Amino acid sequence: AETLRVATVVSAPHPWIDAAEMFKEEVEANTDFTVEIFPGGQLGNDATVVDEMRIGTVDVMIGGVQNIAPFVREFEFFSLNYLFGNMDVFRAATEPDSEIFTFYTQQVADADVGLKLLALTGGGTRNLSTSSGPVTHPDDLDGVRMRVTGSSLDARTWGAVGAVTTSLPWTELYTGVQTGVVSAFESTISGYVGSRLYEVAPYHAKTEHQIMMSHISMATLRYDRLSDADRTAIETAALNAARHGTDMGVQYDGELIEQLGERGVTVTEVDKDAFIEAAAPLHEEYAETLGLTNLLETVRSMH
Amino acid sequence: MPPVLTLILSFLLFIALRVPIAFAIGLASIVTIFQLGIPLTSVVTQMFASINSFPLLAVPFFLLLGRLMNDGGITDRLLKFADASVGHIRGGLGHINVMVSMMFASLSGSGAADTASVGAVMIPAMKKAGYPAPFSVALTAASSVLGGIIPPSILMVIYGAFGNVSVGALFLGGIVPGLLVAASQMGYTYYVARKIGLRPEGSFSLCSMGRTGLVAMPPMILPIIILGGITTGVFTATEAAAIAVIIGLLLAMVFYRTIGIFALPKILSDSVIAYSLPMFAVASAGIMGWLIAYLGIARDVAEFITSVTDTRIGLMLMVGFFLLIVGTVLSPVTAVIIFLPIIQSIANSGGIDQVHMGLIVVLTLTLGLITPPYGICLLIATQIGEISMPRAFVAVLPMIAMVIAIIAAGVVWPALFLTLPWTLMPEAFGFR
Amino acid sequence: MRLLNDIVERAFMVVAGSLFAIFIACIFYQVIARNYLRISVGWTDEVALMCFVWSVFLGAAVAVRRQVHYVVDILPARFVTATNTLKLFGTLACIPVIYVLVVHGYTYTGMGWRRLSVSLGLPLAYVFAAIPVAGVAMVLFLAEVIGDDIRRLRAGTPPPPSDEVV
Ligand code: NA
Ligand code: NA
Repeated sequence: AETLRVATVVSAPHPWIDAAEMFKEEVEANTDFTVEIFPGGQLGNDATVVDEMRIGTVDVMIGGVQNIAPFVREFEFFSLNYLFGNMDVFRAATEPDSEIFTFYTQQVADADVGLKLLALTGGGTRNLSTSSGPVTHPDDLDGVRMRVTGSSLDARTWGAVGAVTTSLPWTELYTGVQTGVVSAFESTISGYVGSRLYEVAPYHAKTEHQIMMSHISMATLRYDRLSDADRTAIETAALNAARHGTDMGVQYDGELIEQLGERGVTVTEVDKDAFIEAAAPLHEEYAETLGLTNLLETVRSMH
Repeated sequence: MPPVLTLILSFLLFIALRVPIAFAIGLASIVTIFQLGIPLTSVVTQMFASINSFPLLAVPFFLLLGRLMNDGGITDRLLKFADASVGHIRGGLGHINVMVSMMFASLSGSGAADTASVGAVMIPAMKKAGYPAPFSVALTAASSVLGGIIPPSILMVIYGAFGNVSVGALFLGGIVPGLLVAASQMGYTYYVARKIGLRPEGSFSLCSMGRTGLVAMPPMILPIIILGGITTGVFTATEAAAIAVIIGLLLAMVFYRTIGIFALPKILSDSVIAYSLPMFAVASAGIMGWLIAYLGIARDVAEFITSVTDTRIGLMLMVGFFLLIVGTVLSPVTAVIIFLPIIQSIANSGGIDQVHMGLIVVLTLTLGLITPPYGICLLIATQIGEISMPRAFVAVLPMIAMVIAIIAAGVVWPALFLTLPWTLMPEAFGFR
Repeated sequence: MRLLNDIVERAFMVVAGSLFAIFIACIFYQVIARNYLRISVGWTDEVALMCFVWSVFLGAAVAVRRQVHYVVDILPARFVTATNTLKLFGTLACIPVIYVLVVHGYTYTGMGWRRLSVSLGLPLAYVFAAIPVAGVAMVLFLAEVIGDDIRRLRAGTPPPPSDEVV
């Protein structure tokens, strides 16, 4: 049997790993392929994995859409905070019959970077964590040094509430927070717990500013060589895995938030309307920059 | 032949056939990729991916700093101070060698720069004073491993950054083993000097020690700025290296006035060559590391080690032994990048603290600088001392054994290394 | 050949040295901006890394000409013919690697037009190009080294001590 190599940058427990495992189970049951999962970024970070998929050494990847935005710029759209009002809207948006999914399937194909989008899935909720003290209102971030990714949208978003942003690699975040180079950052809850960041940043604000849009994609080099039956089996497996991943993301987040208290973390509810208000002006501006004004309308009409 | 054997055996074969190491790694990977039947473009993808990494920027900075210290006469001033402090003890020149390396180590993060600069002065001097050439070479090389142990250390920066371990805690943890290694080497020097009947030379004068100490003082504030800046959050460990370079430049150009503005371009471009050598090897090692992951070898090694033993001490000794072997052919940075994931998973499975594990790993891999066939410090020292590698190896064996003994002590008795970081950075250890 | 290589080497060293200076300045500015100017900077580490990658490949190419890439000498220096033969072999063995740098580096550079950097949005082709550019220079340099190696093997003169730069 031929092997399908599935790469992801996270390690268990994580919704993407659960998705990968379900994908493996179904593909192996319904096709002749065996599936090998490479967790923990063993085969490289997401950008490197996309390059490898274009070359043909890796077949499938599961990860956050922001990480493949260097290849498909339209994915930056999902870096907008408070795009989805609630989980139901998010679920509807990731379903295969949604306009969002159809649109991005086409975008990924048009980008011609060797990827075939199989499914959209969830990767958990993103929250804000700090070492300096509890945050309940955007004003609490005024003048606070905050770590963001290198993306200019992230810098704008958090700069808008007064944070002084600095782009630090994720690998330097723990020590950066510990020594005080930065005192705030935003991440998934599982990232916060998995990298033991609660040890250095024991204040966790439930901003819930993003539900992490994630994708399961296949290398077109491999996809194009599949029989019709295998294509159907693999696409179905990816869709089921994606739904499972979204569910597991919700479940993990609930469990993890509950455990945070035992780990000595102060969890705060935030004035969400104030955060939403701060983020809103960027929605239209960025949608226009990205040429996605219609898509923004579509998302809004789903609420 | 299984691809993993192709990879390892062809690599060793190419090294033995005098293929430059970076190219030997690349060629062995190309051969293995051919056997696997996958596209060769992965070679360049992984070369780029492995050096496209922010923490690696510390390497050029520390190497440039070493260069500035030599050209700026800072090394000379350290030598004079060491001479005034320990020159009068039996085996004086040997003690100076070790002490300069210690001071050098607190400024620079790498051992190779130390061997080259201190060795160029000390090896001829020691030979002239009657020390056996192999001993002079071995001591110079062995004392240079302090560069990677006494903070700052390039290897610790990289280990901490890639492995999410507190670099500050690793730095603090390096102080005691560094002092122990230096003390053991000075003790051994005393023993050798006594055995071959070398008389103490010169006499001690507090006055000249104070005078030379004063001149050598400014560069000694560098380590304080580096450690202080990191622990107070002004800059990250990587950024600290850049700041150290700026201060080093100021010292050499403004304070000592030993380097003129027109000498800078050459110093910069020479430094590029100096760091492109290890970094090009890191790039090549990236392909090998990727192939090792692709073939599932790292997982197999981890499974093997955990199947042999599950005690804390057993696991750490196994990891140490494995890395001692690995370190004979790979550079420490390369070895960390390839094996960090399995090292950390083994530490987790054995309930071993990541700072403790990191210290043991760094110490063990630093030994790779003086173990043949590829021990860069030993290579440089043998060239300066004009002796053959086998003779230098025999002479360096006792010093390797002493470092191993210190590592073993740190495995068995964690408090030996960890008391400092436990006390000064308790938060790096989470909830113990 | 030598003249051409002299020019290439000189050019590479000037460019690489300047890149090094730029990335030191970037990191320095990053620290100042964050701590004392209190302004957000996102592009500095990206620019620093791009300069770093280019300088590593340019430096590695020049190192081929200067023959300072790390080697392990197992034979003592007195076996002149054997050492000279091994040296020639070691040089020839670089050819496949350099071939991959040039040909597949070119392919990879082509792929880089569709991968944009996170902060500045520049195509990474501009960074990947360091690989084939260094590769082509290595071809020029290696040709010169092979010539020297063959001459030395014929004449039976011992190889020059590989003066390691560290
Ligand atoms: Na050091
Ligand atoms: Na030394």
